[in-house]
Amino acid sequence: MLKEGFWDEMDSWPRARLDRYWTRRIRRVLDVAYNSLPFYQRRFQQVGFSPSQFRSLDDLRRLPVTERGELLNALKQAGRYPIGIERGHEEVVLCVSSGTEGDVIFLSFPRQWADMERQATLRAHWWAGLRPGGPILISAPAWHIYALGQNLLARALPAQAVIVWGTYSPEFASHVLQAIRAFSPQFLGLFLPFVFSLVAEARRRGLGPSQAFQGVKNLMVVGAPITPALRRHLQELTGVERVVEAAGSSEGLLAVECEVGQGLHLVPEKSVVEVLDAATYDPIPAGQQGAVVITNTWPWGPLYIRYATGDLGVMYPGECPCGRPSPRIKVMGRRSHLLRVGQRSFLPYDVQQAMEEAVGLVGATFAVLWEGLAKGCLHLLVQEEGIDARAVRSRLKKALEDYLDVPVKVEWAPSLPMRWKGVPPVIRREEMGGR
Amino acid sequence: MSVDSIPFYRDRMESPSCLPPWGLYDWLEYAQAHQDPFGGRKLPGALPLVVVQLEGPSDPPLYLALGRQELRGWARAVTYLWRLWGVGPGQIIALYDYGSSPMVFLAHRRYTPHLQRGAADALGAKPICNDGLASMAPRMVEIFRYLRPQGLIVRAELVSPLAHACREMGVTPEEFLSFVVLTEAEGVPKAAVPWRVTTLKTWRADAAFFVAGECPLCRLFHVPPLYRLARHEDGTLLVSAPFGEIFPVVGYRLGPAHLEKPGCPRESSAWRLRPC
Ligand SMILES: [Zn+2]
Repeated sequence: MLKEGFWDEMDSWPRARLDRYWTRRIRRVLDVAYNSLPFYQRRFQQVGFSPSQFRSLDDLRRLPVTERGELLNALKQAGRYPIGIERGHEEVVLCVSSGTEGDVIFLSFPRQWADMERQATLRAHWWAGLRPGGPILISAPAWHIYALGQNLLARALPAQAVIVWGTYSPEFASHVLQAIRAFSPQFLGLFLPFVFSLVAEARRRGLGPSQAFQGVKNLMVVGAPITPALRRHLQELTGVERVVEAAGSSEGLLAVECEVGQGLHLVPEKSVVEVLDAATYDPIPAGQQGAVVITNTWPWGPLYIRYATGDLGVMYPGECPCGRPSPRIKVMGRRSHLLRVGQRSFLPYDVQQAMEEAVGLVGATFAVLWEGLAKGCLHLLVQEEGIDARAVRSRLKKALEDYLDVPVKVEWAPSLPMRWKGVPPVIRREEMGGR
Repeated sequence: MSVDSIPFYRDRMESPSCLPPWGLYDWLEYAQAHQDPFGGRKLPGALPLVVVQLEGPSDPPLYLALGRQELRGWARAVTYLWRLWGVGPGQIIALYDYGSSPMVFLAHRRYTPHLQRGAADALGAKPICNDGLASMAPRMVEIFRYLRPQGLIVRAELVSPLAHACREMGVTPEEFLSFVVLTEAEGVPKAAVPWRVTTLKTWRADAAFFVAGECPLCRLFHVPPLYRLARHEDGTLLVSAPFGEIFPVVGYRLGPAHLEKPGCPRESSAWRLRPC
């Protein structure tokens, strides 16, 4: 008998069994890389590594960490894709990463990739509360890797798929909102900023925000970490019972919150994750923030072995009360989004948390002015739309200075420029459009 | 199947044997009057596998309901065009349009749930898709640079931002593209490309699951043999898509067109359309 919310028997394995499963799978990944993937053959040779040296997960430390920049260099040098980290040629679908940082990473997914992806996606969505019966709204169909996963999901459940015209960027919020109202999905997986786009669209149409989410019981948000206060805010705003955070990357990170809501469990089919010292890639204790480094556990498609995703995150110590053996992580933000003010540095998440805890301002859309950082000041641009600014206007600057211990300037803006994944964390004055 | 069981057709019938042709606006009007997202065109009780929001400004939007047969038939039509354009095994075909365009979501089974076989699966080609926003043009150029696709199927309005991005980023599509297809949801696009590459167009009517494609040889629009065409007494060409099972298409007004007899050496049995 499976525990409520568990996908299969694997969710109640003891941790040691999960570690053995991962060790076996990674060994296979390393064998494939060693025997047939030129990129890794060179790297393994450089450090004198052979897969026979890999006996437990700790042995991953024998391998060098690969950064995104190194893969981009390999691409530039080759002048052509693939770059020697890919396995499988049958029924290949080629993909691009969403290019959050301007650079594009290519991925090729062969037929054999789908077997794993289906299982991983089912588990992830099951944890997040999806159950058979309702339709699935396909987010950013075709080009986005999340949409490829959703397709496998809809096929496997099976579920009806709803394809909305356009894409999941703010200008299409109206189309998505209408599709939600017409087909009432019980589950929604959305990029966090798009939740606010839907709320704004609902208001424009004279609807209450919760009417935009009518019938939705589980809302899975991806793309940005949420604070406990933001979760409550989202629940109140949308009227959705359960708001679940998930984190993923094209390269194979996948983690989803369980019912306990203390950290995101890794989905074991995809990758194992280490959180390492961001400067040296040495091990750090659980609970400390560091660089997120993944190793894929399935030997088909592009293989990422000890790959620094460019995220900063925290591993949770100990076991989760839910009983799932899979370790828990929280991805706090992109390393490139680290805001340096004098001697201190913050992620947008820290600023968000500061706003909540210092003055109770929850769910504000904000960005940091680049010119401010250059002068050693945290110059915040806070979007007025959708928040009650009067209550905090006079207090915010002082409260944030006390909380973050850096000079702060607050500027209220009617709106901020939106990108596909929401408002970028740092904006230059010229991007503010005429202001 | 009989159209009597489809409310939209049943209510429009003038007599048991006379079904007047219809166009997008007739459907829209019916949908608004009946507050039905499918505008009365879905077989009552049928559960579509895939629902597609139709591109266009209608508010509320209209939806196409696709069952297994609709998915299969429409995908076979797209496959027919890819073959006409010369797509073969191993070729990389770049798609620059929203994933909600049938030219994209019917390209590969991985793109659309419940689709058994997309055009690329059928022909052994490898698709790569870029989201259909003009701001994504630089990413398309990166796709060009590193994948050097043999074919490009592009939303017509994106040609200009794409050409601009190619110039800015120093990529010359002539070096690798052997054809470009311009597409848009309704009719034949008017855009042109600034490159010396065979440029072809689609003739689409998404509301009727219809797609025809310009032939590189005769330059007329070959109609996949999955559709039935008829000439209405007022001269308009009507299309039916007999593969529709839960969402039949009967007598859709394709607009003014000349219908040319088969005879193109590229595909000798195809009826062809010439826009007028
Ligand atoms: Zn748990």
